[in-house]
Amino acid sequence: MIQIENLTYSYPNGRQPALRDVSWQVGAGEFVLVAGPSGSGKSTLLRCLNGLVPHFSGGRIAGRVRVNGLDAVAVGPHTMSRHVGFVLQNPEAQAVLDRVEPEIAFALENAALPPQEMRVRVEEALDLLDLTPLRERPLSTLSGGERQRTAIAAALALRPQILVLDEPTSQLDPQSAEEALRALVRLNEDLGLTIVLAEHRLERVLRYVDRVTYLVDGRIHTDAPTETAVFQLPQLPPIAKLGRKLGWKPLPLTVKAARRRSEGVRGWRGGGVKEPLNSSPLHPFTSSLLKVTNIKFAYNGRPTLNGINLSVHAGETVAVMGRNGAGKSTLLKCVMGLLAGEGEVMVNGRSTNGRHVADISREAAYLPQNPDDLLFAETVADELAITLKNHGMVSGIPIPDTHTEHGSGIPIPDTHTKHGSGIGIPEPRNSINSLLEQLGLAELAGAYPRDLSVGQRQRVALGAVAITRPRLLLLDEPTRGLDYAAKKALVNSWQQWLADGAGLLLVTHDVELVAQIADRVVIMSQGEIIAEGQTADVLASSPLFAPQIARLFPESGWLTVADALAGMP
Amino acid sequence: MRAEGWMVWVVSAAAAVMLVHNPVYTVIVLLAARVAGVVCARSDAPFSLSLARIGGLILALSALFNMLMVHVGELVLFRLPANWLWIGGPYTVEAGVFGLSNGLVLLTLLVIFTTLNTAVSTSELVRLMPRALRDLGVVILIAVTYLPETMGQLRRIREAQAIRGHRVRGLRDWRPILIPLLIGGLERAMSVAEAMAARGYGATADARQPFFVQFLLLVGLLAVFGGWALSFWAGWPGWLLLGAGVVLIAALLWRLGRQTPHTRYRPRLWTRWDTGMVVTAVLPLIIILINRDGLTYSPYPALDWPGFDPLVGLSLLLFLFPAVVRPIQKNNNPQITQINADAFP
Repeated sequence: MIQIENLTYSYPNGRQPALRDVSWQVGAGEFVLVAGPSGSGKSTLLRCLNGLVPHFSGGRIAGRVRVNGLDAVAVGPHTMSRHVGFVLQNPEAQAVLDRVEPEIAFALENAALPPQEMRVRVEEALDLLDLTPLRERPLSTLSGGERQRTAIAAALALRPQILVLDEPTSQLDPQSAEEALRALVRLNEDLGLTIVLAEHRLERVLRYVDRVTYLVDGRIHTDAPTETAVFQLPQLPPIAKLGRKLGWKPLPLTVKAARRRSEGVRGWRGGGVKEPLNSSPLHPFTSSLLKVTNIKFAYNGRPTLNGINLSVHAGETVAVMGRNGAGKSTLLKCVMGLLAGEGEVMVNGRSTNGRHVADISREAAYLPQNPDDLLFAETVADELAITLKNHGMVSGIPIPDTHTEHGSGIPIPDTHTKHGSGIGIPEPRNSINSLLEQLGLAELAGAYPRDLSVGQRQRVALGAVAITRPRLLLLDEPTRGLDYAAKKALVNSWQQWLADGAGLLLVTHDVELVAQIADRVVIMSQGEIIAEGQTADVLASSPLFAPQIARLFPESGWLTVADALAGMP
Repeated sequence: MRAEGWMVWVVSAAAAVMLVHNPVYTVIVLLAARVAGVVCARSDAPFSLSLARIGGLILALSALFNMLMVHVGELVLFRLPANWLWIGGPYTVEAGVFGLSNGLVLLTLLVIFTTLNTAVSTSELVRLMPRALRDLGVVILIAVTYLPETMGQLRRIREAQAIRGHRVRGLRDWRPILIPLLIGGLERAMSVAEAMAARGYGATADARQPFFVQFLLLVGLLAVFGGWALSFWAGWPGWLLLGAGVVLIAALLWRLGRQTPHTRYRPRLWTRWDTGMVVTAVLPLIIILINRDGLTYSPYPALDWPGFDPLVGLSLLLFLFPAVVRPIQKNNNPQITQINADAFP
């Protein structure tokens, strides 16, 4: 189906090749996962399959790409669109028209199919992805999963033999992701469609795929059937990681498969209940950094928050979970004063009532979902300096002079005289450098923020909102779309804050992250808190939010691989 | 009801209002158009103007403006010194009435287009473009979906900058908002372009038109404008030239459309209701053109009641056709009207 020989490709401005001497094959009916850290060439490899690379991107290409008997590099995306269906990462950024049905028909109109044939194909595509009830809906009213299914249907309308998807679930919450992935499995199993899927969240997809190709730096690191590839992959879902530690063979990829092996593990059944490490983090004498009392908010007359009570204490990490639309982000915005809700919000013991957002944000840093909404300066250090300047916390600033290869960007005026003497404010240059150090960005201080990877941009954004060193951090889905390494770097940067007595309020869908770092978990639904308590108690008892290890060892109190290994005799 | 029928309805109703310029007839068209707009509104019509408020404003401003500018008439309300430029002179009831009647025409045009907007979706209207102009149509449709997303993005960026302590005080403070908006917008545009290329769009764009087609297109345009200009002095030869230009351009577009290889998904069927729509929309216009003399109302030099010809007045009620047909369609076939209600192309 797909044969690639000695493919080397460089983007027009790329200093080094994005793909180096890749030889790769995919057989008919295979479901192949292309994995690897961000920037490893996954997307580029996928775009070679339908000629978007090099026809859309430019650049230099060498080697052969044969897809379905055609030379993809020679014939280009228009011809290849009949053979390869392509789905992009962001469902919002790939819709051409405004409704489900015309969106699916778009490719058919381009191919000049007769109207009768078009009707048949659109109906087919609607049925395959279960979109019939939504056929007349405007796309803007659909959920992320529904939109991504529409994108898949639109890609399938031309009846391609190959479907290529570039991180189709990375912007989706777990339920929507599951919905989209199950649709793919059905297409693969029932129709024998060849599927090539790029994804870095292995725990989501590993159990569905036949084969894994792991890329590192544009080279194929591993290319093997899933059962053998798992032994060579650097990152694994928790149960497989545990299995590898315990020497299980073959490695389990589903809880079901692991369950059979776990019966032999001693120590968790019968008295293996783990004492929670810190059973009372709510020390009555620690003042709460954040105290939210009976917050209510209605959006266009529809209640989004219905009397929320919540507190975050020093050194504590609280995770807020729940479906999309449960009101999680609204809660954070009400805390920050971006939305005016009823009820009282106390940050650092002071009410936020009537205070300006800028004022609140000195004491509480809020990291929005998309770091790109924040970044605009010429260098990473400037991003942090500009926030200081906004808060009037700058005294005559020379931005790090060792990293000025891109120029130091915006000249920052001396606000010293305007805003008083700045007593008690640390030397800005030092505070910027030390925060960059803590975020692992010291080497990138002079880089242009938008050239960085998603994970690095996320950390720059965190630096930009947290340079005032607030004691409260509010993070809205900070790990969305990040690979394992980027996630780890981000989590590491939080540890320092926590150690210094800060509190973390985390809105996330990432169950494994919560299992790893949260002290308490709050689960929201329809603007109300439906469950609250210690992480182990809340997660372990919920079938939807339980991490894999908790499902594997019910009633053990274990949440992570480390817990399990420590708890076993 | 197909978008073509609605287009005929709009053009005819607008032409009738502008030709007649008589408040009695104008009010009839206004009411008919409003009723049609309310009855035929799509379930997801984008927005509804507050017509009462806007209407009051249009009428008041129009009357005021005319009284300021025109100082003719017998019923004088008051006078300003005559040596004041423009606004000096007598202020008359006649000028006010004429202004009101003008405002009424403007308001009616607004109501007619509002009705079109609520009854027919943008995508359906774009589909009316000649096939040769499909690329332009796709661009318009993308813009229609792009705009709300950009507004959402703007709101997110303003929030993101606000929590960095950013406040917009002067022009320069827009930089932190505009740069992410611009870059984000470009990235989204690139992504949409890529998605379109992956779905086989754009092969037609390279097909260059032969020189003589471009030349003929130019000739057609020259004929249209030349004919229009000529009609002021020469009358009918000008109109003839204009007509020839229009026919030439239409023929060219038709030809180009046949060359571009693509088809349309699920065009709505042409029914007898659509024929009825076109006939009832054109009929009042024909009647007006035949009885043209004496229809126009003017309060100058002396105020008088506007004339009324029952035949013309009744014929204007034909613009109610879509409002009458719509409930019948709904009753006859709930299934089909369900689809009509959502008006997809």
